[in-house]
Amino acid sequence: MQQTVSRSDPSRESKTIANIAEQQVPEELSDWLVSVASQRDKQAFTRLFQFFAPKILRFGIKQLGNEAQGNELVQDTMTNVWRKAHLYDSSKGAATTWVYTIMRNASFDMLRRIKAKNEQNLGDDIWPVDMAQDEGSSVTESFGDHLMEKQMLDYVESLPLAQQAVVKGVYYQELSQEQLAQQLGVPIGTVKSRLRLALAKLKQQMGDEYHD
Amino acid sequence: MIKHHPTQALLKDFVSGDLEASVAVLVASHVEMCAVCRGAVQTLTEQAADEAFEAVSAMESSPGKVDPMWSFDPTEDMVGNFDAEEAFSAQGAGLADSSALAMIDAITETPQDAQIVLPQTVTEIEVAGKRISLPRSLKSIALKEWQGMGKLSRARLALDDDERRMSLLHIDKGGSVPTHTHKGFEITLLLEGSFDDEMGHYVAGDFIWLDGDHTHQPVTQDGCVCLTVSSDAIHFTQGVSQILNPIGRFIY
Amino acid sequence: MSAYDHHVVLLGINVINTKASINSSQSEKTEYPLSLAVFPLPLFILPGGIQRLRIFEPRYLAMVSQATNGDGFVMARYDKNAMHNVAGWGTRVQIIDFDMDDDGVLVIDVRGQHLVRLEGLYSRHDGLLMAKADYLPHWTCLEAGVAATDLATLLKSIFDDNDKLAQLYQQVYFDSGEWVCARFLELLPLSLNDKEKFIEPSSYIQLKQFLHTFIFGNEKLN
Repeated sequence: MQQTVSRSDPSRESKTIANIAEQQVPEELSDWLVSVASQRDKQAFTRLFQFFAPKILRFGIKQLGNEAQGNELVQDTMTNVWRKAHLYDSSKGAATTWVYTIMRNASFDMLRRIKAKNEQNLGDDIWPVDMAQDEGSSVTESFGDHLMEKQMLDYVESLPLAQQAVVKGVYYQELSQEQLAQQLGVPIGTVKSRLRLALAKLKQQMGDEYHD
Repeated sequence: MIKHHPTQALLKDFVSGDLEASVAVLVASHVEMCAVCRGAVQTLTEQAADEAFEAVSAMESSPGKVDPMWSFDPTEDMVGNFDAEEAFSAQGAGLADSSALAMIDAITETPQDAQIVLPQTVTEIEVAGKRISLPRSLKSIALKEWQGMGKLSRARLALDDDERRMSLLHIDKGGSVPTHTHKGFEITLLLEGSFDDEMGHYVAGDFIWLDGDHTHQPVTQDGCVCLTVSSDAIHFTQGVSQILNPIGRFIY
Repeated sequence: MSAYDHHVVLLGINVINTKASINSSQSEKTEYPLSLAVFPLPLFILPGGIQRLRIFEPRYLAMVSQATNGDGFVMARYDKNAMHNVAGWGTRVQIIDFDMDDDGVLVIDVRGQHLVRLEGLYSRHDGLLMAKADYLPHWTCLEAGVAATDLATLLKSIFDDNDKLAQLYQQVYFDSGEWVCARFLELLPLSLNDKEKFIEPSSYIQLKQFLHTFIFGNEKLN
């Protein structure tokens, strides 16, 4: 269905195409949303409308109980799709998931208006539509950055790519020489020379026993 | 690490928009703090979207009163010079077409929202000298005045949700809430600090749902701030604490 | 989506052996050799040590879900010159905690249980390395109960200054010389070659001397 109709060509063939579109989810949904966001593309919006409106109506009738309110939900949802399309990020999820969010939020607020006579719109606060990951407070901070030893990084670089992928995903739990120097309150040169001394002594003690 | 999460069933209702507003706000606040549940909600939303937008084809293709309303040929109006007569005759369902197209026209006349995505507004409050950022799901909900009683202080949230009440609760260092039970239910989301009760240790992000079957006595060593929703006044169960029953109404 | 599934798979983990005990390993000696998955990594972990790992490759996700049967898996030193790219020894670890990071990647905390000798290495169909792991004793001539006071004081201050490190350890044993020396060996900026010298059963005394020289610049032994 993708090649038969160019967007500027109001071809009659599109009627068949429209029927197909009702049977399955068109792959272009995401592109249409982007066109609406970037170019206020009315044709793309019309296609989105054509695909989503019957399904939103069905959802609305189920949630809100009658066709009039179902139609209102179609209007609310599709208006928000038009107005907020720029908040859709195709890399964060499918167009259907995003439109569902818009629809569910509108439906939630409508239901509150109907049942609780409450005009306070909460839907978009409860379910953000900007698809951005929240700066939640459960951030697992990557302390790998400051515990990753430079020498280890060099070592990582020398690994085959496949191994690097694994290794770079590890949080190193290791002090750097700088951190150790800081912890001990001595210059980094002292840390380095002490290490040389300690290794030399160790070699002396262990002789050639140990393997490299 | 967060160990107490909403159940999968609760998350599913959350995604469907079927929870009461205050409960939805609390679940949303947990989800904001919990990467695990964010992943689950994402998955459930995808599933709900698939259900709403994909599985309807069979119903749609069968004749029903819902269907004809929105079936029309949108390409008729592609270039903006919509010829009503032609569309009506072509489709044989003129009224539906015209209302759909009128709706599209009306919608596309409205301006789009500002392109600039505003930085997330973080609402912060100060409790006992500590700044605490509130979940973003609370950003449109006003916070009423703090009221204190001993080591407990409470501020109600101006969320109208039938008999359910939502509050921020601060328990100061070393404070505890006397052993109590719940006639209805009480959901607690720990926003800051930690507390313990008979059932375990809770940290920021933990989501705890208690109902009438549970009795507990939360104690906090270093203080904590919770977001709570309760459906009914709580009842203290220990002898001496019953004198404190005003606190029950206070917390609720 | 997949990340969450893994979470579901892992729900049983928390109950597995979360009580840290530095000498708990010996009791399980009887079951050997075990067929275990091997995770080759250029890092060093001893019994009692805790490491946080991000798991995203399918074969290692499979490894993690298998590890939850209680057998754990083996972290072995990556060595590109060796057969199958791993040294002939490793550390059997248990998963003690897990979470998802913000990218939905599985993050696990593992604790070293005991050393193992690796034999019969082979790559499974999904690329996961498997081996027969036989119990390998570590530091046998321990100075039981002797604290390494200077080292312990310094290690404690390192833990105090590094929240993320301290958070990994629910329990610390600053009064155990072996525990303190093992944690130092893991933490210090030394090559893996150098660290590996101290897996020898008789190497504890040498490690203690080595640490004193390296850290304090002398041979003072308490």
